[in-house]
Order: sequence, then structure tokens, then C-alpha cells
Amino acid sequence: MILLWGLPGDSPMAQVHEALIRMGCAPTFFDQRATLGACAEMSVDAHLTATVTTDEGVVDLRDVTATYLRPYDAQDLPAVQQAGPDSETYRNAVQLQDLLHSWVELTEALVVNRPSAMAHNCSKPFQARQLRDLGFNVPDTLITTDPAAVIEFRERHGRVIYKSVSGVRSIVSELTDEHLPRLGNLRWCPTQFQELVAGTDYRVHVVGEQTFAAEIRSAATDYRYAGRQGHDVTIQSVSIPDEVAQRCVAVSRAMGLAVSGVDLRRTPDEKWYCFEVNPSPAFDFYQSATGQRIDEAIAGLLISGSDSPGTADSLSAVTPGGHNH
Amino acid sequence: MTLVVLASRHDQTVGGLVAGWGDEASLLTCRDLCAEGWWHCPHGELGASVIGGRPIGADQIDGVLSRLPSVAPSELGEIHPGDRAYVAAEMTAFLSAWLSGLRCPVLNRPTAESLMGPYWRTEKWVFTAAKLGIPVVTARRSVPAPMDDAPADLLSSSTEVSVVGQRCLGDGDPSLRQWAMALAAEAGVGVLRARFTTTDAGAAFLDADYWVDIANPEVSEAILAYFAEGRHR
Repeated sequence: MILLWGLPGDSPMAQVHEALIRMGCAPTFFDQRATLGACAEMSVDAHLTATVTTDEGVVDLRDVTATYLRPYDAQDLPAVQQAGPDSETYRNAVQLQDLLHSWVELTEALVVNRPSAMAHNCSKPFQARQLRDLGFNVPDTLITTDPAAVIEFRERHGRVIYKSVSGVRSIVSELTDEHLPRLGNLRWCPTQFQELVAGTDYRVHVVGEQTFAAEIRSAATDYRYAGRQGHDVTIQSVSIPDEVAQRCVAVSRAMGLAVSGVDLRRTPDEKWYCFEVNPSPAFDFYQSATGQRIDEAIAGLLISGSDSPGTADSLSAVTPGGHNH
Repeated sequence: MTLVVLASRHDQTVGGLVAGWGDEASLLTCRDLCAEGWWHCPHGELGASVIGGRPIGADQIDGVLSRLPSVAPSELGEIHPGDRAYVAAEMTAFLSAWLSGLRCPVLNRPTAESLMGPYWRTEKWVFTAAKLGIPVVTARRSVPAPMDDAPADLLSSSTEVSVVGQRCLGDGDPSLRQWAMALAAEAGVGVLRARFTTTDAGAAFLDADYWVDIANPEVSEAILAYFAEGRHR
């Protein structure tokens, strides 16, 4: 049994769901909104057993061979917010979420991806240390509450960007002279600055042993927000050096991620920098631009029930646009 | 010896520990992060901190005890309410990087999930203990949770064993201490509190966490000794 857990309207989830159906698999879908009233039982000693009972029946989680997770925080679901923290709906939703999180950490099924593995992205510098240890170049970084340190750092590198330290999404922006009068605000919270690495952006999606590389061209500092900044963005499927692709697979595997989105930048002198590894990538944005069938690769991975190479027929062929390593 | 105890500003017990360790120890709370002078380079120089208003170079610190899994928005009274969740996430992420970059002993080293070590639920502890061959009490939970889900009869007679480095503190059969040490090793932590059903050899494992009783002088001294030994290693 393949289990999907999230919201059906979430685009990556919907695309994986549809790909599974196209490939002849009927997954079990825990729609977070539809399972707010679900009951669940779990018991753990040397063995793990768990069941979830919904309106559609009882699901024995021992039957799950693979699971794809993109749950929203239960507390953010509209029905849960509306019910309020003292409600049964709220308690049930939070308890079910925690029970399932506990189960995915213990199950022998393939989990895409475990929360403990995804947590690496909660601290960018914490993750960056791993990236550097695994062989990627990473930008020189300063986290500080000290305006003088920022000025010295900028003088050293010429051009500097700032962005969030945590996994909370932020718009990467260049530090300019206009910001300098506000550096006194740094004292309220350590803030992350990085040398601006000039070059071309790449997003490499890793699915098990496969990689899907896309080149992104934009004049924006943060191409995700190019439109807001009045810039265009073009994305195309490309080949990247095998060594770089293999490193992406190795990094993903070292972090315990069966699927990931690796953000790279290639400098004019052919150095490859890694900024971040996204453990729950919204691959649909890149898929729609490149035609790479990342959804089918994920579906194939789930059907194989393993992210190890050569364990299933579904992985023996390269998915269109992808490369095996 | 310069020691730092990272804790919630609302933690009542940690003040006694820091006072007991004397001038060498400083309490670090998220309030200290709202001070000019912190800097940290994850890939270069170690940087500097400002704790209790005192600048301390990262290389001057001889040991850190972490008693804070993450910074909670409720800790940030000085911050605009609308910004507290973001600032809490940023401070937690910063502390994760800062603690993991220190070269001195840190109890426990942070993980991506928690500033106190691996974030393991009861089920993970029990599963791990069972795999290590330790007798366990089956962990059960259900949704909706019954109002009286705590096994009160087991907890009332349970006993605790604390691990601090290679020291193990607690009464009872030696097997309990061996099991607690094995669990700490498996989790990769230096500080652990393990709970068992009884003190005798027939005990079964119930649960574990990192909240060793720092009000216990034996525990406090063991932590201090751990840092002192680390300084001389």
C-alpha cells in the first residue's frame, strides 16, 4: 500500500497522486481535511503496529510500503483554526498529526521524507556545514547582531546578500547603502549575511538515484520573486557534470532524503556552490517549465518501495528528463 | 573555566545551578540574543557572544549545557507580537548553528530538530530500547487520547537513572545503569534521563529524555566534572 498524506489541492501532492494512478497504482490518501475526525491507535515495543480509522474504513499502517508526505501544520488548517485550540477538532487534529509523525519515524516503509530528515532545513547554516563537509562550495557567511561586523564583511566581499537563518521562507536581497542606517535593528535578532556569489542558478531534483537538473536564468537576486522585482525568469532542462549530479545524490542520501531539491549556482570559473537542500520541494514549478517528469519519478520510487538503486523494475528505466546515478 | 547554560528565561531551576557553579558560569537566554556584539561565521572564525552583557569569545567557552529545545515565541516579550514566531525560528536556527560550531563540550550537541539533542518521542525511545534487548513497557497511544492515558500505577513506582558522560547516577540494579548508558550511546548524547518501572533487575524501560535533575548536587557535580575533563582532553 502506498500512503499519501496531505491536501489534495497541494500541487506536488496532486501530481504525484495522478502519476501513481497513471502508473496503475491506487494509493490510500489521508486528506488532512477529511481525516480531522479520524481515530488512530499505535503500539510500540520491538514491533510497531498502528491503525487509522476514517469514514472510509480502517487502514492498517503495517500494510504501507511507501508514503509521500506533504502535510500542512494541523493548527493552520482552516477548520482547525475556526474550531479553536480548546475544541475537540483541534485536539484530534494535533494528536493525529503527532501520532503519524511518530509512526513515520519508526516505520520500515519508504518515507518521502521523514520529518527528522527534513529538519536539516530549519537552520540554513547548520545545513550548510553539512553541505561543505560533503564537498560542495558554500558562500562565506556571517550571522550577527553587530553592525560593525556587517560593514567589515561587506567591505571584504564587495557585494553581500541577506536572508533568513531558519527555514522560514524569505526573499534573498542584496545589502545596499540604503540599508546601512537600519543596521542598528540587528540587535533584535541575529541576521544572516552571505557573500554574493555571481553565476547561474540550477535546481537539481533528486529522486532516489535519479537527478533532474534545471538551469534558471534571471537578473533577479532571488529568481523565485523575479516578477515582483520586474525581471523575467527562464527555466530549462539541462545536463550538469556527472560529478555534481552524484554529489547531489550523495548529499540527499546523507541527509536521509529520498527526494530533495538542491539549489546550486555555477560561477563563471566553473565552481559549483550549494545554497540549500529543500526537503519538500515544490517540483511542479520546475516540471511545468521543463517537462521533466519528476512526479512520475517520485511515483516510481514509491511503487518500488525503496530508494536504493536497482531494487525495482520501475527504476530500471530513466524517467524522461532524468538521469540515473 | 567558562561555562554557559542555555535555558528558558522562565526556567526556575537553572538559576540555582548557575549560582552553584559560581562566577565561571553564565546563563544564556534568548534575551541575550537581543544584544549588539554577537557574530558567528559557520565556515570560518568562531565568533563572539554577549552573555549577561559580557562579551565572550567562542573559543573562551569551555562547556555548554543546553536546557532549551527551541526558542518559543512566548519568550520574546520585547519583540513585536506579530514578529515573535519569525524571530523565535531565527533565534533557534542561529543557536543550532552556533552550538554545533563550538569546539568545547556541549551537553547535548544540537540536532536539526532540537537544541537539546535528537528529538525522540516515547515510541522512538521504546522501539530503540527494545531493539537493544532492553525489557520495555509497550508504548501505546490513541486518538482521541483518553483523559487518563498516563499509566499512573507504573509511574508512581518508577525510578530514574541519569547519564552524564560516562557517569551514571541513580539507585537500583546495575543493569538499569547499563541500559541507560546503552540508550545514551545509541542516541549519541552525553546527558540522558531514563525511566524504569522499578529499581530491581526485573525492571522495564518506560521512557527517556534529557531533563536530568540539575537540582540534584550529584548531577550538577557530574556535569561540572564532565566539562572539566573536556577542558583537559
